[in-house]
Amino acid sequence: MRISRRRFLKLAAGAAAVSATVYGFGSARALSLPIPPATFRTSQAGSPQAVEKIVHGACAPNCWSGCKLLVHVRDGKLVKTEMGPLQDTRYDRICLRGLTHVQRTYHPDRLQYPMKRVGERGEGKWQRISWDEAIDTIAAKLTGIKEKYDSKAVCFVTTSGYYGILNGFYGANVRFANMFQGTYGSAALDSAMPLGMFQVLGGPSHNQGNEAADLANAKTIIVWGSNVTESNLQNWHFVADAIDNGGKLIVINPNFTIGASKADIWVSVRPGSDTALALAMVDVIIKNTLYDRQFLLDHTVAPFLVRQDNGQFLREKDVVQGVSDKYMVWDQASNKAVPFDASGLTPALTGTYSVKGMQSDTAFQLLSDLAEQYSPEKSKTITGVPENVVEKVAHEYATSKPATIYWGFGLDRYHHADLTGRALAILAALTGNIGKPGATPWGGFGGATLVSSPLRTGKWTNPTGTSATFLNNLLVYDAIEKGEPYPIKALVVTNCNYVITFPNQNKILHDLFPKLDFIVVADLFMTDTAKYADIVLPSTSWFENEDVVASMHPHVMFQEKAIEPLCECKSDLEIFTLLGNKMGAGEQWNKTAEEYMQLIFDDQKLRDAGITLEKLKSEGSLRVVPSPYIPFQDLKFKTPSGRIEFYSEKLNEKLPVFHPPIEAWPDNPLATKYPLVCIQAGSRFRVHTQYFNTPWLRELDPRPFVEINPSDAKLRGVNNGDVVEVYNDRGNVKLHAKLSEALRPGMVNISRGCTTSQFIQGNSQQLVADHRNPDTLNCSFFDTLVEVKKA
Amino acid sequence: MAKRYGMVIDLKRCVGCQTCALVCKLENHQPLGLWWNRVLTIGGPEIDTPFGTYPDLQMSFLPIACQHCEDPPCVEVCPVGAAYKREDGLVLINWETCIGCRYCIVACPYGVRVYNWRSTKEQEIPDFQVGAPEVPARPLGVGEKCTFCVHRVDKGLQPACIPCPSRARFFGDLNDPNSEVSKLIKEKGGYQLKSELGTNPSVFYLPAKR
Amino acid sequence: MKAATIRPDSKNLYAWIAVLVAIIAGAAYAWTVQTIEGLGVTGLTNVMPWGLYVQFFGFLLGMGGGAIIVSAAMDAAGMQTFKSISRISIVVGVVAVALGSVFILGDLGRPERAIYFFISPNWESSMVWDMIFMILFLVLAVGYGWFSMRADLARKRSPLALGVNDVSEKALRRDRTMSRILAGGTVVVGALLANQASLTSWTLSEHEVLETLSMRLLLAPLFLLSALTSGVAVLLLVVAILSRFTDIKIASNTRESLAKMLAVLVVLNLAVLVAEAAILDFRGRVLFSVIMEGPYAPILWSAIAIGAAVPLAMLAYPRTRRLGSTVALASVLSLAGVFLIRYSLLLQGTLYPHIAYPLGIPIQAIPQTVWSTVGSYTPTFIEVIVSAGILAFGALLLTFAVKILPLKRERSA
Repeated sequence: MRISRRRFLKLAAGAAAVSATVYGFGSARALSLPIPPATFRTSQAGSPQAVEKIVHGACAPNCWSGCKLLVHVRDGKLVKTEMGPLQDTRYDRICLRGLTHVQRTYHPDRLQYPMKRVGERGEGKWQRISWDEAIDTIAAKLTGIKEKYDSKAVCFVTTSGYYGILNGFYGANVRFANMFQGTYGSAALDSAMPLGMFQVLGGPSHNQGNEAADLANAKTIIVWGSNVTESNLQNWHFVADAIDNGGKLIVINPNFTIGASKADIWVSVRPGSDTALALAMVDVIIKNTLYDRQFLLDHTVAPFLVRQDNGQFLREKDVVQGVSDKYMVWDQASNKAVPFDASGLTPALTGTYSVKGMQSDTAFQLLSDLAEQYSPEKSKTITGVPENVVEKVAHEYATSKPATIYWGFGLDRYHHADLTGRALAILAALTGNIGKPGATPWGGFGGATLVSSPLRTGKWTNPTGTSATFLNNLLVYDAIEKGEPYPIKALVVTNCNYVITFPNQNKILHDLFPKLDFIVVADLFMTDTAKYADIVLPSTSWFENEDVVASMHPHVMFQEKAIEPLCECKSDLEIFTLLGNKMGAGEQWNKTAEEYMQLIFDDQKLRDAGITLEKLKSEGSLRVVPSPYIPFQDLKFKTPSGRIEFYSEKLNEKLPVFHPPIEAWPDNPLATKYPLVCIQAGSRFRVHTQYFNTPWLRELDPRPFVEINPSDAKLRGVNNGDVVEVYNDRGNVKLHAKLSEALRPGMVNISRGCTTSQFIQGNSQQLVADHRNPDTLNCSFFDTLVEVKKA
Repeated sequence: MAKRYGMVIDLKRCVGCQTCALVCKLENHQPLGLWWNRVLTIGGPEIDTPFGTYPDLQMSFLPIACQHCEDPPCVEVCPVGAAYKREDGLVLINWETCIGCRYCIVACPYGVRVYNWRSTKEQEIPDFQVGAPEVPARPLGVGEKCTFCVHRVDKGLQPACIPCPSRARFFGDLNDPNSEVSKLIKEKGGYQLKSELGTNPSVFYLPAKR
Repeated sequence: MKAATIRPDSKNLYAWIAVLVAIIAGAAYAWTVQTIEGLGVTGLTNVMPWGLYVQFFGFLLGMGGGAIIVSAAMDAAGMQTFKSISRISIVVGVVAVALGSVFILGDLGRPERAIYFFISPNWESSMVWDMIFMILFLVLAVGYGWFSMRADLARKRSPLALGVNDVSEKALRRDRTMSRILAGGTVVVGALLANQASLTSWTLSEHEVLETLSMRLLLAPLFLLSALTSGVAVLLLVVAILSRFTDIKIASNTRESLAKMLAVLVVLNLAVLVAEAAILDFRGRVLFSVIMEGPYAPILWSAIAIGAAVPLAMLAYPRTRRLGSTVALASVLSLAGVFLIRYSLLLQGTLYPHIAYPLGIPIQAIPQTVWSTVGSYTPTFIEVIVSAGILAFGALLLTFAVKILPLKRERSA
């Protein structure tokens, strides 16, 4: 049938009209959308007319960097954080995380109001309650537990979520704990290496090293057990300065870290064998006479005679009755034992001598004999490090001075870390690399707690003179589980993600928590710990209240209140103030933050040092510790002997011998089942679990992974990106595999700080055990064996 | 002599921490998925992995953003003249004129120009504009890239990415032989990326191994 | 002269138009989504910023130019060989080229600002020259077409005659002269356009390669040849469809000549491709092996198989060459072949990082991240629908043209 032209035209016109209409409609709709002028978004916070104010602030989580910030606020909203100037501008710092506070502060998942649990712990069922009800409930619970058991049954747990004096880990919570006489869970973290240092060098505790800026003065830096560019990013530029000035960088780390990629020498040591490596270096230094003889004689216990029968130092009263306790040395001139402080001495450094029938060696001789057992050839099977490498590193350290040992808490995470700490201090003592610019056994952190101590005095932390019981966090486990040494029935958790920070997660969740009558958690987000709380309290972020901040560099910083608290959030100080008032301690809790700060700074010593609150507020930061901070320049050591005690007569191990890690060692029978050592290295994309949900950081670091060497992966049929299960007898976790040649074969790394919701299943903290070394009571996270299989 | 702004990045000091990428992201309030400044790993197939086989390994990092070339291919190909180069060396984009044809992205030999692909309004946290207010909000469908923080440079400040934790980034006048950047290039062997193309970038790198 | 009639059944026509309109409607919706959400709804990324749309742009401009060139060249030279299809080829050419520009418009991030092409064009930009040649081509081609058809239009008293109704011998001769001149111009500009547009749309994958002069010299013939191949193929296809559904009859020897021409062009196309591959091989094995054996090689090889080998087989034998359906199929395959060859070469671009270091790309199930400097490209549903919609729009225009324009020659005028 033919179609007439007119008909066709009508048809075509109709089709065209329809097409045009649809197309036009679609386009018109698209084009009619408001196209923002290329100026500003409509939100007021973006308007150029909105007044911008810039206030002082500080970013101070557990990265220990304590970056001073300039905090930009527009229309009452936080819009930008940028690096701010410290009084000592060498320490100016900022990092990728500190730039994301705008996202962290305004994250939609922030807790907004107090909630109480309805349902089982961990089920995730909550009911919103008022602050009044929350405080009433907590007060009633704590009072009840105090009456039923003891005030000690309430344990105030914290780790270092914030370094504010008022709201940080040692602030209002401690004030309350002291007043209430509860338990304060302490230590057990990062404490074994410092203990070792302390045992050899004496105090000031945690301040035995030169300040970080001093790193630039070193001719040799050994970065040992530290992933410095991930965990201490802000110290790196000092190390880079040392390198630019012609210094050498030696990195001792089982894995090829970013720091190792910058090193002149990278030593891949077997994990947990660092004491043996240090002793091997001692052996090289002694055998090649590279030690600083005079330093050893004058400032260490090297020449002191040690009785073979009881391992104690020979005392003058052992030789001549009734006389002093003085230590004895062997005078080569007169060929007899004399008190160490006699004049005109030529003390022997080495040798075994008979004194009144008692065979005695010089302490140095004992050290020498011990080191011989760990000579480079002999210790190679332990450490996996070839002899020539040990010799080279030892030579560099001993001769290319001044030399710094920059150790990190990677070393702290094994069962016998205290011995490693002692061994490293000995290396410094042996070579005289201590108490001088560029030379220190603990590079990168010196002077830090000297800032906070004057601020955390009793008038702030302990107004009533009563005290909390300080119990090691590992012993808190026993207190909860078994009631020993006394029962703990409640946890008050602030600045802490307990379930992720502490080891053996399954034990915590299945054995400990069920024994607790009451758990209250204050946090910004519904963390893995908050999930198990009975009452959850919404915390303010750092910018929502004022505080004084002391982190790990020699400054104190001021945090202004930049924005109003969001929703119903309250600071720790406010929470404890409410609680204190409710529980009848109104007199200790009747001040504002400002008033407490004035109280803290009302101190003559501070005033004498030129540190006042007014000055701090206007400058934003004040350098508190005089520059340069180089401890032991006076070569006075607060040890029993007043000298560097590489031989400690009071300790179980008089000299630091090597003991293998309690679990992560190939000889362990467990290793046949679980052959891989699992570490949980820090990541620059988080600070433990803080920043876990920041979108910008998650763009760069989207999901948890287990890093594994391709050779280990191949054996298990695992390809890059595969989902794998990492497991041992304590627990398991499912996540993605990331193949990397940087990993030492036989090791895997699961970057720490991921929350349960981020893993496919399980949590990496299930894998870690709560080993107890009675000498250190320190968590040994890396002392863990696992196996990996394709899931 | 006229100023020619340039940047020097020391790859020996750079540890790939991504701070410069983040500070740029904040300052210029970039939407999700869009980065003007990136830090690439010169190593294995994944971020932070080395190349080689254990234990013979090597790794370094390359922060890369617009090179602000003296002879920019992107300016040459932009059909509407939205891409332009200023007297002082900055290569900029006029976000009122850009038609979003992406020819500049195709033409850039460094792959540093990016495009505003998606509307992310729903997912943005926070839901208001952050960063510097002088930086315009870009509409959907235009090309974007590093501007050497022109809003800061014009006020006599340095770009936001210069404060780097490793102190590895420097900014200044390349035409001034006494400026820090000129001296660094001369003394430490600064080089340009893909110099054989003749684009003559204003960003110089100091070798990772030297 | 009567306008062409559509036969055999108006139902076919209704159905045809309904289908086209449906596709266009779908495309309009998809494009709206694309405009609101952003071009991120397509498969395009920073690694592959130009994809299906720009490919069609280059392809269509080449095809349109190629379609006109063959018959216009003959026309300009005064030869009668392809007189019967010259009007058809003009219409196909104009529609194809105009359609190409619609693809670009649909590809823009801010289409409302397209006016800046005219307000502040940058003469150094290849894309501006695309536009200039395109406008010039359209003007010349439309002019050529008008002068060819004016007399017939005037006889029908069509308003498209623009009031110039003189059908005297003198007028016809003037028409003829103008036709030939404009035909010549169209050929020249059409060739330039094909070359130019291909150059722009191919910059992505070839910029590494364009540096060598030998490659540049070789690219022009390749572009021209692919334009001619696709142009002749589409002509054959349109002619086959018209023969089946209208009363426009093209002489079978014309059609056979076209078919032979297509066969030759396919061979030449292939030859130039091989030559380019050989030069690439000579220049650097890596590039060559990636193209020949890389992840996108299958597309290239199937393009060669279905787009060259099969049509060649069909067209080489006189028996198959004469069958309308075979020729139509061979044309479609050749078109697909040309398109796929260009497409696979485009995709190679995603494999070469701009910065040639081993790269850090985090583990992702999603292959492309903020870090990616290499990646892959797969067009999304939206891209395919929008492309289909624009092509359907072209088909609608062609249908419309067949109805109202005197494409059928009652007598050689």
